[in-house]
Amino acid sequence: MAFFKTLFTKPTKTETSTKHHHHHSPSLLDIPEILDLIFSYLDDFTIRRYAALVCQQWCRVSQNRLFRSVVCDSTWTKSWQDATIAASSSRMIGAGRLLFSISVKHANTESRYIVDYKEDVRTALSTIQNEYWRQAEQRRQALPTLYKFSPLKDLHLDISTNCNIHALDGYLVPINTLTTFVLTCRHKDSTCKTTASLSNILLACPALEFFEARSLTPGLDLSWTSFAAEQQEPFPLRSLIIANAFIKQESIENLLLLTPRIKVLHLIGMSLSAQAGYNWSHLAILLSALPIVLDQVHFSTQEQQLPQKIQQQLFRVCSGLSEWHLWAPNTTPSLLKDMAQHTNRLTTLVLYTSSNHTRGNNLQSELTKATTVLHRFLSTSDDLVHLKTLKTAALLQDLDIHRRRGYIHLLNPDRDIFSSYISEGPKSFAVWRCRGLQTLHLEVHGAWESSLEGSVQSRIVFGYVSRVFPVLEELSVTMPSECSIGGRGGSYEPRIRFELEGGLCLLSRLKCLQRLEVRCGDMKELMANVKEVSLNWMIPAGHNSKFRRKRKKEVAQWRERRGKEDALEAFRLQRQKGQEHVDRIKTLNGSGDAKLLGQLQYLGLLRDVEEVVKEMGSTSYCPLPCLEGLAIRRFYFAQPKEEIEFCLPPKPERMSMW
Amino acid sequence: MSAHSQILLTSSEGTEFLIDRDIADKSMLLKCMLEDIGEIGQAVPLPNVSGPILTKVIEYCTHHRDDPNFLSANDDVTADIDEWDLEYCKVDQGTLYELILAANYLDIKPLMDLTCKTVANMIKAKSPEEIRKTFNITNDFTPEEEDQVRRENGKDWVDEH
Repeated sequence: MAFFKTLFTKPTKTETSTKHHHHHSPSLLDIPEILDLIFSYLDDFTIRRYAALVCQQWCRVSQNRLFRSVVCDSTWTKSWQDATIAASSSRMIGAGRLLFSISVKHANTESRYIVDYKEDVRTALSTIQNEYWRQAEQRRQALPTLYKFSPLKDLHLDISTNCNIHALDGYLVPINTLTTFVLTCRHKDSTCKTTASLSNILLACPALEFFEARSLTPGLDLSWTSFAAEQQEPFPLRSLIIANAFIKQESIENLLLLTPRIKVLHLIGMSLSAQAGYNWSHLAILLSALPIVLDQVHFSTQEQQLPQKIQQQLFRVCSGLSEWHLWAPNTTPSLLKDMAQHTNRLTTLVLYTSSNHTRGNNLQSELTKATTVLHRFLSTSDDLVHLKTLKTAALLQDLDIHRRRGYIHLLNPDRDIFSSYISEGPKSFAVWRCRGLQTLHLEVHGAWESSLEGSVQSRIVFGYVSRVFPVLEELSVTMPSECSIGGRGGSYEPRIRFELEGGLCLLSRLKCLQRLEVRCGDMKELMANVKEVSLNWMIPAGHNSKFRRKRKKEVAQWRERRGKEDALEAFRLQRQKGQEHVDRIKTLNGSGDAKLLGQLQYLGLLRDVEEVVKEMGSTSYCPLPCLEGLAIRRFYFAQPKEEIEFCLPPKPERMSMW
Repeated sequence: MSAHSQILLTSSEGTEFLIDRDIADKSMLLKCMLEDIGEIGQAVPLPNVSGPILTKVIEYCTHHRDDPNFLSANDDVTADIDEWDLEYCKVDQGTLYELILAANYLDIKPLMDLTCKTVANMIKAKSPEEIRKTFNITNDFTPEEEDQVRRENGKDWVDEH
């Protein structure tokens, strides 16, 4: 028995537990390891905003899970004036996450001189590193503070450029604490080329677990210096995501020999080099031969369909399929059926499209096909109760359940346009079933339509999202910079309408919303006529009596159009035989959704916005209580108040009143 | 080693529990011990686990006895809890805490995950005051400290300009 005694009292975590065993109730949460474990199941937001405020102990333990994030944007000329910009800023030192948003460009069109900020970034990163370790030593001796101070773990480099960049990896300095590196390339046009060495990045950051490289146009080339497996220690990489870039197949294969811990491998919409395409089958065979168990895998190539045989091979190398990552050209009903067979519980669904860089008819048919298949799945499948994340493209006509998108130019309506929409068949009156979505990225297309420009279309999108997904925490609504018009081969620039009547404020119904991104084409132009009240409903400052009055006044100006809208509604109900249309929608959606369908009755109408503005008129009205990040003109989430100020056209210089 | 062999466990008050070996193997502590020293025909004392809690733990291990993914590390911390597990965790706070301690002690990771996740769900969507009330915690911040924490934790991305 002596052996058992030793075994059961060995000094591990257990010892702490036994100590507290007899006076259990509240004392369990006094054990920091247990509390820390419980916090590991909470999201950042809950820890930061609620758990950390409970008591000193919770605050201390929560600090292990939180780190400070800092953004540095090269368009803030003030910050970038000298080479030590960032480093001189004390808040950057000890930040766990850093985002550099950099605009690389020729100084002027004739000049070959490029403003690239490379040395600034390198200097900043080195200084942050050195200062961190110097101050960490000092802090060890001082009293603990609440100020979050950690080594740099997470780096995002977001580069917009109108020229070629060679060796982008040169922006990095060796950082041995970095676990996540995300690289985003936004080339202004498709002739721009950027190169980066993936092997140099992995060598510079020996603790890197997550690497992601995305490009908006197929101009990012990743190179790789092959290693002999016995010469190089394995890399700790767990997740490799490459989108819309090129890397040689042999490079990927060599890399996989050195990454035994890899769990996520996404090669999305890979560009084809001049020499050859990818042999995905070969890669799938290699994966099944290696001692690797993947949780997620995705392969797709620009302008190439993945044969079903390879998809089947991929099912075999992957342990489970709780996340679906679809490539638009491959998305067919039979693929969804196959995937459903391999899924226990679908939590994430992502549709990748080539919409950002391919134009014309290919894209249109690819999109229409994929979104139609997906729309049917989303509105009929019973397996969507667990879906938390959805990133997809959608057609406006699928969201427009009442067929109101023709209600443009209300004062002078074109009856032909709205008549044709109204008489559309009932193929897609169904509403998506994934009510528990927490993250939604929606790219709205108006394929085959010549009008994704009016405020009614924006109202349909925002109204739909605000009702169908009530618990959203992150929302991104975008429209492509160009939509093609079916048949005629032309194209137009869709617009999101940010004015009050565009219905962005319908999103005020999303009381859990933490991050909001809304983006479309030329934002400067779209913002030209936008008033403060159309955006500042999101923040407490926008709810004083002055702004309430202004909003009310603006709504009052819609009176004539509201009258016309009512008349159109009467006409629509008559054409759609009123109740019959509603019944058809109800049949498609089942009786469980009766309440939701009631909420959607004004979808797309000015009346919908009017009701929301009326609610905002109350002095007890609470704007989005959780909103922390807003991205409208910037590529990252900024504080809502600042982003709103940044978006609005500058106020005319105040006249000096005397 | 016979697949049907059984193990005798003794709870803190001395109650004996006869369980199948594959159930005992769900506990890493018992599994390693049994592998190290073999079955010795004596009861294994578990002085830190009471009878009612041991009953609950055995209930959990028995339900998941044929679960092939029992020990595969589940990185998805946001995943939902399945219905049986949800029902299993509908116990008073004291029992839940004792289950956490027992899962920690016996080293049953899935039970540890489940019970901690259940506590985490009790924290979600509550204000700090509601959390204090739920867990009977005293607010030991001074108003200034509380204000400081609120200010520092109020935003995600800190803009630098």
